[in-house]
Amino acid sequence: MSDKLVRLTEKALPFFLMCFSFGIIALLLIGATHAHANAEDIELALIARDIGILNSWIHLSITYDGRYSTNMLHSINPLVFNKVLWYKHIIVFILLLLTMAVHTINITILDNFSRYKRILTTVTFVSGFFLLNPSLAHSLYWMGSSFVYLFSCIFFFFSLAAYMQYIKSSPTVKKTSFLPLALLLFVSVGFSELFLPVYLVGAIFMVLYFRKSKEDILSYIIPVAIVLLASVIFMVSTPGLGLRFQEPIERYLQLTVFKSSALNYLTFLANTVTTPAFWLMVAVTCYINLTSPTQSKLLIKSKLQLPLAVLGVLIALYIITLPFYLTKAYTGDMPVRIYIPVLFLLLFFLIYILVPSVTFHFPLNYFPKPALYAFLSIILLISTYQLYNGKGPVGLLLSEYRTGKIDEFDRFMTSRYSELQAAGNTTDSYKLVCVQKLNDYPKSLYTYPDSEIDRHQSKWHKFIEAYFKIDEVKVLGDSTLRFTRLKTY
Amino acid sequence: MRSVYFSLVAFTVVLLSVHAIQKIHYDNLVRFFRIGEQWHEGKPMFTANGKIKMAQYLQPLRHLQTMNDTTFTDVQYIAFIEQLLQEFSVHSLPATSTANTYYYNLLINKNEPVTLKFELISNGNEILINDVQNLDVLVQYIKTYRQKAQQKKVCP
Repeated sequence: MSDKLVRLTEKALPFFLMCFSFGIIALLLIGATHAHANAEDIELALIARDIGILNSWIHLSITYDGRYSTNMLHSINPLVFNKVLWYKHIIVFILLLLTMAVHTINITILDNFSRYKRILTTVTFVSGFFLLNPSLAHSLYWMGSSFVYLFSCIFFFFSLAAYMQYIKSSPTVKKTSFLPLALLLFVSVGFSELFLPVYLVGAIFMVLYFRKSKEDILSYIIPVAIVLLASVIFMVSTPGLGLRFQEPIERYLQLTVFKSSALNYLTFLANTVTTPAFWLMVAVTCYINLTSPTQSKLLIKSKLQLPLAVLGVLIALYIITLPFYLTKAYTGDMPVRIYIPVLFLLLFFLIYILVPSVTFHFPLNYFPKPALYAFLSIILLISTYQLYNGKGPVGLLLSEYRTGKIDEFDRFMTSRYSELQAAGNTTDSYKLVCVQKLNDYPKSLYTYPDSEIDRHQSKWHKFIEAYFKIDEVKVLGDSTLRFTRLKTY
Repeated sequence: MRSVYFSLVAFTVVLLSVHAIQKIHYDNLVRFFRIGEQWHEGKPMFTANGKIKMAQYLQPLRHLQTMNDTTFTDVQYIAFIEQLLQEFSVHSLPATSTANTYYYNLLINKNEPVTLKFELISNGNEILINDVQNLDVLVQYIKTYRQKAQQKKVCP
């Protein structure tokens, strides 16, 4: 590369990177504006609507899963107030909240970086997270799943940022900010059991880290650690979570469960690091750090600790997946949804700790600018090409948008829900609504459950009927009658 | 510093209170499950009053008209309620409970929500059903449904 070309690339690259990342986010927003609730979202909203927010929260926390913050979100959202067509606004809000959480962490950790580079880091993180995501439906477009697997990530970032601000604040500010921090930590713990090991280790680590510093800091840290421990204990002792451990302990601690979890984890890692988007994120982070005069606040200062940190994080991320496998004695196919928080934490480590530390120890003379720019340009082109050809979750979203599948799905579901709402508002003595079967839906945007062709096949009809106050919802072609089982009694 | 520890104490008190509320509701639910255990153990599940009321509620269904409350066993009544719950209740567990009363939300096309209300009585270790209010509404609903013309119950 000639000097002129290097300078031109240096100026043009950030622009193209921004365009690429904003393009991905815009695409995700388009998807959000076409998203619709599935039968399980309706089921959970229905409880709160009919028995009240507090009763619903207690009911879900003792019988459903014990994820108390998630249970609260199930009890307070527009669906609870009969706004089923507002679903897309919820998804837009979730995407914006994630972007805000990432930007908050950037402001905290990279506060000495230029504003432009912080924005670039934010959009790179958000777009990269979805490019590498195991399932867009489970992480973003299915509200019920997103409340567990994405909100736990979002609130991890908010609580980490708040904790870091708390540490560096003056004693007077600490006194006033402790209660909001405690509440934020409590809420953050209650989204998913997958994060429990993170918060537990975090509580122990923060006390050990500050034990030798000035005593007055430790006296402010200990209450934070107590809040984290208390929240973890509260979550674990919530009856709903305990219900998942009803089997004898030998059933959970089988070798096949550990083998399955390890194999799935290795498959996830292999899939992630062999995706061009992963290397795009690495290259962008290298570029940002190498061309900045300052560093991230989470550097590993010793070269020798770098491989140990990588190994430690990889083991820790595997441990995070274990609560899922152990609570279900799970040995089936890869449960994609639990790798959403794992991916999030992996990218957090990569972008804010590992790459900044590597570039700190091996500055630009190890990575010549022309080579870095050439690599970045090539990987950006490959990622764009793959996206255009429908590869990866966002590529699938783009291809389903281009083929009109997403528009068709939106029209179909809007029409179905409008029809159900209209039927629910009539005064007919028996409200029967016949709906078309949802056959071909966009996989990037939606996931079952939905109404079945035979109403006796599943429970999902019930929730749709109860939510819209209809006697019976049938899929066209369903000729079964109700109460047939009572005849034989 | 004092304010931080005061906040911590307040936080802990709130947490313990919430946990106590959850525990009360959970224990209440476990108590309700005891009826199911009695079913498997072959123990009674209804009070005498409960059985009389069940017989009254179920009378309008044609296939039950020939049965009288003395020949109809607790197990048969429970099995019937179980089937009704599968057909009508929104969820397999009571949505709310207070002391000896359990409420199931029902899937009935009414402007006002209808709930199935179980009233229980403790008899030593046993929990007996004394009444299942609104069961008659379900029975009437089934009867009306069965009398409807076929074309009103299937898609064209």
